[in-house]
Amino acid sequence: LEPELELAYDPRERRQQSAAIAEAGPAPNKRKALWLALALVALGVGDCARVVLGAELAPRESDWQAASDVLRKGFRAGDLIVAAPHWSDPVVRMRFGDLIPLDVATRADADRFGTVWEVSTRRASAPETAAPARCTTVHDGHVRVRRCEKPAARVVTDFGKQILQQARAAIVHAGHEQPCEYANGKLACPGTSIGEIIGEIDYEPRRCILAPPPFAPGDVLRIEWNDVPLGRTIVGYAGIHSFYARKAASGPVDIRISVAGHEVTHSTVNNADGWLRFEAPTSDYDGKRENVRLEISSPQPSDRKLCFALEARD
Amino acid sequence: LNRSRLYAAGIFVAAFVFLLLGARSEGITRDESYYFRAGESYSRFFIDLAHHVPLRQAVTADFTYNNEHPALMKMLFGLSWRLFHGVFGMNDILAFRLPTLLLCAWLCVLLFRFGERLGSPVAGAIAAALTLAQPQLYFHAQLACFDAPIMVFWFAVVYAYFRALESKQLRWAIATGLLFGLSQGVKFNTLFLPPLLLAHWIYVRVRGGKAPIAPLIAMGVLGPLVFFAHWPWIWFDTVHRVRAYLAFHLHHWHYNFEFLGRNYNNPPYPISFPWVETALTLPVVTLALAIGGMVRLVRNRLVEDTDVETATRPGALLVANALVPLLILNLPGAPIFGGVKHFLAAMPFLALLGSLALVGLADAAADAIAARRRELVLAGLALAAIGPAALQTAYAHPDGLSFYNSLAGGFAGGADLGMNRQFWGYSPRSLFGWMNASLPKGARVYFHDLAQDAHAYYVRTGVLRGDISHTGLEEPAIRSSQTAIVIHEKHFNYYEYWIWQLYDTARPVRVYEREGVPLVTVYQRGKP
Repeated sequence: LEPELELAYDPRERRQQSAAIAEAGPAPNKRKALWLALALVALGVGDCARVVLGAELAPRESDWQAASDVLRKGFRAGDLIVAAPHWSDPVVRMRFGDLIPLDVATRADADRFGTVWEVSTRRASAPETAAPARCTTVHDGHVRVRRCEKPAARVVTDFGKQILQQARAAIVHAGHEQPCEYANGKLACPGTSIGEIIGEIDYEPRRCILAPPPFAPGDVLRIEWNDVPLGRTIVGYAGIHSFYARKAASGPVDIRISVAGHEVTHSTVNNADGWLRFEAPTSDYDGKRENVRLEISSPQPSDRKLCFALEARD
Repeated sequence: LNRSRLYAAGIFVAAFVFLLLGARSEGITRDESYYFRAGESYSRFFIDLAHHVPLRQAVTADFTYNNEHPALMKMLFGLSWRLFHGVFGMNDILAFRLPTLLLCAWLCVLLFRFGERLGSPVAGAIAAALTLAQPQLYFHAQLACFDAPIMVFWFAVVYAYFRALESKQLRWAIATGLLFGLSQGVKFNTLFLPPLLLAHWIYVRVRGGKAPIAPLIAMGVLGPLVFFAHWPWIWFDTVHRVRAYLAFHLHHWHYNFEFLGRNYNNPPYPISFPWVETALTLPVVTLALAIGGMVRLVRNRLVEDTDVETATRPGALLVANALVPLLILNLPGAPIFGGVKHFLAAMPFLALLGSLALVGLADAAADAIAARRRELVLAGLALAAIGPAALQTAYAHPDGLSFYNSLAGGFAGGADLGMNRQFWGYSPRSLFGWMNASLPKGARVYFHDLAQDAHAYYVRTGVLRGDISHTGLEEPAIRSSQTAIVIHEKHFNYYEYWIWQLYDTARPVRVYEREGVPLVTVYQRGKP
């Protein structure tokens, strides 16, 4: 396809044109051209520098070892280790995973931890170390370690941990209860089931109770814990498994909590809510044992894989 | 040989070697593994014909697989494999990839030629370098997939059209039509070219040019003929099969893609997507030059030759082709799941605009300092542009999809911004050295998004030990594995949590990372 070509560009012509321009007088854009050329070189140097710095500033084995030595010296059972930035979490778990039990890695929140160790690269901060936590840098370098102290919530009852042993569950259909049966590590209910999973809620790992609303709109999944110790508050989280929240469906899910027959909180969970926190004051029952009821329903229950965590706290 | 052809040959060889260096170590992407298999099947068609298998029977036997895409590249992949692997003993993977490498090297020659026709072969040569020296483009340019080839054909069609307008020769009009037909044999993307080139043709005519209509007619006539001729699958049941092909792409499933911290898998997609992706993936100097090249056209003509300018309006042609591939992504429902690969066609045009601006700037800067050796100023600026881009491309390899430019802050900066980490499951290849050395004999591995076909080719080529098996898909595959990997993409998190639950640990044994950013994480059952 290509015919015999002569070079259309002749550098000598360029020179002649430029000489002609020079003879015509000082070009107003000369200074601008020079600055632009210098800016281009500076951009190039900056690009190269970033590559070199990117490689240099990434933590090396010795940086991790030094951070590990310091952290392990001060770490106590029950402390929390968090990664910053969040995307470095797999690397931090590889380095400190023996100090991060599965329950801790899949926690609902960090409220119950009084001491938080933040392992940070790029000088990032983790949300768990924000105020009111008071942090002290115990090791600095490419991997920074901060020890943060904050008030810790005391968990009086973890409803999720007691669900299979002590809770009673049923589907309420047209005012009548159809009880759920325990089978194969789950509570099997008509049209749904209840069981503990490590779920992906809002793209985060959460150990929670998978309790989808009953298949028929208007039906209610009822879970009751009888005679459980309570504190000053009930804190819950709920969310729809990310896989189903992404595109499968969009129906809202209602959650109602009652204590001793009185509704203390009512929340609606939608796809965009992520890991939704709800809280109900229970000071009237602080230190007492009462019946707690959780009811889950949805007007559009298809593909609503709701997962929740619930605790009574001081 | 005249000097021009010598330069063109030099550029072709240099580009080919540059690509070859990467293709040897790049992981196999999901789609690529399907196209390897399709290539084996499609190229068998010619053997079947030689053995007098009836045509319809041969078509059904060889072209049924992966018939949702046209056949041109898959036939080339397969023929290359039969020749270079079957006859010369080249590594299977590289043999499949050769057609893409050769096409991308040809693109560099076309860029040189385009620069030449615009009065600056140096700009054409610089554009070739700036095109290949893009980490994400370089990644795609090594694969036996369609994204880099369709970029090449898009550019080739536009170049032939430009030559047809410039020379008014019928052979360039015919070349435009033939190349358009071949491009349709790669992927449907160039269906946007006829309206784009028609708009440009009208613009040329309105501005007083006497643009011939022949190239557009050739696209309309030769395009469908070549498309039909190249694909034996549609020789039978034509209406039904063409309709099925179009329907597949009109109703394509939307995959997941992370952009600025959010996972998208359904329209509407953010209008900013193609623009931000471009701004954060092109090397900064290339980006600045491309923008400068477009801004410069506001007040200046692209070429000094009035005849060429009037006949072709090259500035408008280049800018339109630099912007339209990105604008297509702003159409309602246009999928974003492939990121930059969907608008790769813009990149050679951006590079050419940028390199023309660079040559102009070098000229002006040489004037400003009254340089005696003007070519040294040009060489210095070219080095300042190409050097950092090439450095970043080499640095990012083989993880080009995870890399973001200096505006974002590299791998880590891209992760901070919540930009897509990767897709297509190719990155575990970087762990194979460790796996081959440390996994026990007969290891059963859950390979997550690494396709089973890709695993088969890795084993066949000796990249991965033959006794390391792929346990399959989803939860049952994790249950039956001893080692499990998770390839980090935002929407893949639940696979990692499945592994935690089934292995009863959240502690990985190994993380493949770049600048501290995890790309692949490995777990082993029973390791505390």
